[in-house]
Amino acid sequence: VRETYSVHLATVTGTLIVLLAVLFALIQSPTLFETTARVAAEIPHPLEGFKQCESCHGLKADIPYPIRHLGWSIESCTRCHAPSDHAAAERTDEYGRPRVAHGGARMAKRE
Amino acid sequence: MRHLLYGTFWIGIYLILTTAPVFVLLIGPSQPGRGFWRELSVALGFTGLAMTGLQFFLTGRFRAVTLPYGIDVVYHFHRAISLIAFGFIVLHPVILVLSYPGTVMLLNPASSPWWIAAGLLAFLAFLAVIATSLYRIALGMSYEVWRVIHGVAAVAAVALACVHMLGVNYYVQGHIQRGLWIGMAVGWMLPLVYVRLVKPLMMLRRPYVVDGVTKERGTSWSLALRPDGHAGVQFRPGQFAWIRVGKSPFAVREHPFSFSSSAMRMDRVAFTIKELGDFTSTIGRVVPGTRAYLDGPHGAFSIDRHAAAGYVFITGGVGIAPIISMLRTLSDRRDRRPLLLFYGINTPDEATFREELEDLKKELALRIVYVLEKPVDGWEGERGYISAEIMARHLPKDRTDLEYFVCGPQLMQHSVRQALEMLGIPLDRVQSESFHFV
Repeated sequence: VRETYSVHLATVTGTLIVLLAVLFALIQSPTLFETTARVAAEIPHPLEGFKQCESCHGLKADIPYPIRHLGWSIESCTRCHAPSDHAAAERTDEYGRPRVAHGGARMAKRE
Repeated sequence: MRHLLYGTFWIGIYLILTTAPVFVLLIGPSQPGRGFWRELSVALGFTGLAMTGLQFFLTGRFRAVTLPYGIDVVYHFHRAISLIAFGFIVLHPVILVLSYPGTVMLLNPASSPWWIAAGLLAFLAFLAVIATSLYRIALGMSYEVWRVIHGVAAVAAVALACVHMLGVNYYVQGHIQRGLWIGMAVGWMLPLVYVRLVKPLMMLRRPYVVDGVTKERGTSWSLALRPDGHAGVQFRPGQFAWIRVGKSPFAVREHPFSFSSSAMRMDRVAFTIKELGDFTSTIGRVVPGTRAYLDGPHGAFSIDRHAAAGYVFITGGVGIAPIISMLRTLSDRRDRRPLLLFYGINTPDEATFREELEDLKKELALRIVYVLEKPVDGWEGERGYISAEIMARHLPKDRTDLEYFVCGPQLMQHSVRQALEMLGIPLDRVQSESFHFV
């Protein structure tokens, strides 16, 4: 009986904690089924020619990623971050020809 | 009533300590939500960690925590809530992966940062804690080895989970949040420091010496201890203590035994221990003068917690130890309330304290009903197991006004409870303690 009482006590406590965890989640994201939305920031440029993310987004580069991203391999970047629709549309021009995937001025500066 | 209030108070404190720190994460310029299921997964991860950290308090044997419930209830709660916390910890990655299947790719330690590996290792350590606790006997693991593994794996799990949390660094970027969770992690370790360091140091200053070892009927031994240089321990009859004999108070090996001596005598305490083939079989070889240490008293199984017009004791085997402590105490107090003892044993020769019980009948309003499993020739008393029929024959008419104390093997406790229920005894009048944890 005492063991059963302990289990009941733990079950009630655990249930209350789950309810409070649900409350936390609802406060942060009130819509239940928005889970399919991609929450990582989208990549605002095409990927062609930019395989080495760290060149521009390393901690000491021009547009660094947040420090909490430190440690992820380069292959990991596109597992969460995808190019935006806008960036995909930019891959071709109005005649369907592939665009140069980066600003010419910036590349010229690098050369 | 007072214990009920205390009990509710501690459950409230537990809820606050496990969930309030999660809501503190939302204070100030908090991070944006990332979808309900992901946030639920995160909340379960945080609460699972907080619940696991608080386990060190539950097993710290703090009297303020254990007194309202009884230490056995606290230990059973520790065991049950561990499984629930582990469930939360399992759900943390499972919900994450189910709600966003791409996440599973991130769990690859080869391409992920160190704190993902820390999370995975924390999970494995939690798994080791749970698996060794649930299957210790099936794994052939001794209690001492299990205890070491349990402690080390639990500390490793909590430490690695904290590393994981700080590495993810989403909700703990703020100084308040980061400080709170790091502070809590340090706080969780304090009971461990208390139990493993402070308490043994205190015990070192309050040693006992073995005053005598007496053979009792029923392959049992009474181990008497005398306080060495201090006043001794004040306990309630029916309580127990963890004792270490011939070892340092820092030793892992300790054993819980019920006091069998009168609570009115602090200058010499005794424990009655039945030989069961393990450490208990070495008691007879303990030499008087050997140093011993006590951690106690503990437990809620005592007449002093349950005032009543009279008491019924139902016991089998070495379950007589806490009962004789209560009877000796009542005798020393010259108590005249009616007492009834049902004592289940194999044969009269195995009745531990048989002679003393007969003497106590002269000093107390005590009736004893022996129930023999293997009755000798000419035995005219009760036989078989303690049952509803046997108890009905001996209990007085006002039996619902009495308080019942049941102590003995698990099976006996279970069947006696059922029998008492059949006799109309309210279960809140039936007291027992159960110590089968791992």
